Amino acid sequence: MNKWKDYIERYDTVLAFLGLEFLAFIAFGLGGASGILIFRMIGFFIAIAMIPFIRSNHSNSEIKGYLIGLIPFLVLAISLGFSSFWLTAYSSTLSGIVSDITIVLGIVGFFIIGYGLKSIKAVKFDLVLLTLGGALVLLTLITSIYTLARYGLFYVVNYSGMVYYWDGVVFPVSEETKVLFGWGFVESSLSYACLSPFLLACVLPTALYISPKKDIKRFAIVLLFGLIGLSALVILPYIKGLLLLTPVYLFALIYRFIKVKNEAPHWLEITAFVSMCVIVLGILVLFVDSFMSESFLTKLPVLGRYFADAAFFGRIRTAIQATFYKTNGSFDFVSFLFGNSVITDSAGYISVKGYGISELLTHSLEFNILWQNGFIAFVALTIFIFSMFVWSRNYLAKGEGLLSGRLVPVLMLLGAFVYLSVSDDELPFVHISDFAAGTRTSQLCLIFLLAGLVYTPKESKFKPEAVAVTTGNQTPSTNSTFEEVPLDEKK
Amino acid sequence: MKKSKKILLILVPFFAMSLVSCADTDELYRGDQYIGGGDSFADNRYNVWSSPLIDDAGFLTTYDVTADKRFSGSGDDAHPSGYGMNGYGDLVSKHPEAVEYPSDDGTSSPLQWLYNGMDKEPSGIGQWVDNTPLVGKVYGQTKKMSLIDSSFSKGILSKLYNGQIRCDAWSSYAYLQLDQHGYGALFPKELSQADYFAMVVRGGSNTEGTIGGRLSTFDIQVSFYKFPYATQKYDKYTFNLSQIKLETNVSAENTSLVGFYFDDFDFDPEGIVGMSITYSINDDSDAKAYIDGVLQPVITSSDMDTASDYYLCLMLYEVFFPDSTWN
Repeated sequence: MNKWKDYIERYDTVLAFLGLEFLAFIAFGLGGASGILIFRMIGFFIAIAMIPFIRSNHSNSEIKGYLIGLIPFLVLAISLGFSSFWLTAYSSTLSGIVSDITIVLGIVGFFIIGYGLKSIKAVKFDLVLLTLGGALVLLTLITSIYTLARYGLFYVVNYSGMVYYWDGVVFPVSEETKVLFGWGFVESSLSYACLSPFLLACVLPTALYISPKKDIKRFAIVLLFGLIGLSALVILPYIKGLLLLTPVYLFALIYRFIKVKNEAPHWLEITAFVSMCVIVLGILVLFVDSFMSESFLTKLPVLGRYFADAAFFGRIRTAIQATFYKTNGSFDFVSFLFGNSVITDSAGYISVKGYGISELLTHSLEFNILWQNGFIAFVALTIFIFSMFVWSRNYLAKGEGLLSGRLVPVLMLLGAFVYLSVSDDELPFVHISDFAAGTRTSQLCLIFLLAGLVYTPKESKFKPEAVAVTTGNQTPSTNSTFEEVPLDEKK
Repeated sequence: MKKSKKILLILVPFFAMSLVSCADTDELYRGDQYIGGGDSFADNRYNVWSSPLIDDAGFLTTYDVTADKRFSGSGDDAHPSGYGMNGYGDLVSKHPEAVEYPSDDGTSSPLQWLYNGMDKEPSGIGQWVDNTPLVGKVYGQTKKMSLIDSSFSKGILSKLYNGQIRCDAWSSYAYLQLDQHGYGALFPKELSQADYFAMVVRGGSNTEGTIGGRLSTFDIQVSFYKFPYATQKYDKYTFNLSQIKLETNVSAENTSLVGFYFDDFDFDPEGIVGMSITYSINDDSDAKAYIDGVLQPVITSSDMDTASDYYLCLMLYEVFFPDSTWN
């Protein structure tokens, strides 16, 4: 890969800076909806500029293998960008297509940036974590301080059942909070606003992996990041968010006390496989229930209420039915594959097969993607999620640097998956009716960037082009392509 | 500085702020307050007065708003709401320019009372919706106070400033149910300029079961308040609108626009900082209710502080100072 040598030596610092800067912008959500549109496009070009760094660490056959393995990811990116829904959702088809192209480029771009950051020698992994954490901390602190000033401490509990009037309409004060969106604060649902502090709070158990005696600064920083995120949820309090932290914390706790080598223990593989089968089976049952003229799941004792029309699974059933069937009850092949089309009537009101957007939205990102982007996107997303678990396992077992550092993006990804699977809100704003589709948010870009960061295919073997430099008490990795620099290093 | 002091320095302002401000929780209500809560008709009444307007009265002036100096509903006393479709007919006939809306091409077109049968964008009952598409089409959404200044969007009185001029199945979400003591409130800003005042009203009664409703006659007092810096007291300017005929219980959609132009009284509205509305029943002799299964005439009262079987209230939907400016 000598042909890239000059390029790599000349531009590594610039691209390291740009990559980190974009990580910060995306984590902070700078510029809101307009900002992310621009960042997607610029991000893609930065990603292209990073490709030589990735290529220099891998042989052609390795790259070829990765690309084949990433075909479901490419299908996902294209199907998230383009669908019947998104081609008909815009007032102008041309502007819709342009916007959809930026979605595809953004998803691919941020994934490459994530992976590219690991391939640039000038990027210390601690800097990646500090940038990521710092941006989330800044956003969380700004939002939390403003929220405290406007509502007071524990207002969700203190003012439960109370309403306020705005524009002649009553709003339950305990169901909203402030969020920095674009260049100002807006009122939004708790689930939408709390994703950033939630991701930050996911970092907290990483402190279990660091000895405060050996590396007090790293310990303190991780603790601070996690506590700021957790505090932001507690001061409201957002109880659902706190409960959703449980699986993340449990995973971190269990992983802390099992011995992980290059290969996972059999019991872990079996547990993961069984869990995967249970989830797939559950989804299949949900699909079958949706195809029945009368739901059998609603008749279940105790659990039946969760499948009622307005309940969590009931809304999913409505979304599945709208994806598979036309309004006359016959199978709708186009919407099944590519998602539902939007109908705009002469008065400007939009609907999907007679449903309003709010009636079809579920609290699960995966099923919102099903009715908006179609079954192909849904399957590609499912494969991508399972792949992420595999990559994360590989990354934790074989990745570069300290385990505590590697755990941060993995926990955030796990947290994001748990959170968005049950608490996705795509009509989150209280006083404006903007549609904030999960596939169009900066948070999803951040998730793909994190996915790129943990992307570790099983056969991945970095070439030892760069000599790893390690200081302090850390054990150097023999095949490192970047330095692991403890946070207390003075330079 | 010691570490503990540094931490204290960071935490103290943080917690102080959480205790003192709370700007978004200073006007909260029970979830069902004023919107159908309670067991009786009287439970929904709104009779809140801003205390300075009660306690700090200064100079008082009154004006009689005679029929020729006001506009009242459709202009047809037998059907003040114009069958629910033309509640602003009298304004249109007397001041057609008031409902003209300029287009980009230099022409203008009249604003409708309803557009495609609606006064606002369709939404679920009690759910907020963006009504911007109706600006330039519907009178209420074009002239509403919250469009002039966003500060009118806050608080319970935003019901009166959101352009919703009839129920649209919103029931008591849409209006304030006033008893004869009315209400008095300060505006979030001071009025600089306005040509006229208007309000959307109808009668409301608990004489349930009387299909078709009736006409009721009200004597309404609309007062404006100014606060001269020299006297530091609220000067009150009361406009008496006597014998206003409104439809009661015909339908929650049968509302009327009632108001007057300030020029007709040589009254300068500049400096208005608050307003109040009180009223009394002039005539409600058509009120009937089923008693022991027989439809019989009944006496209605607008004094909800005194127990009565039947009440007549003024249902106030909207307050306008169209095209006004505020400081």
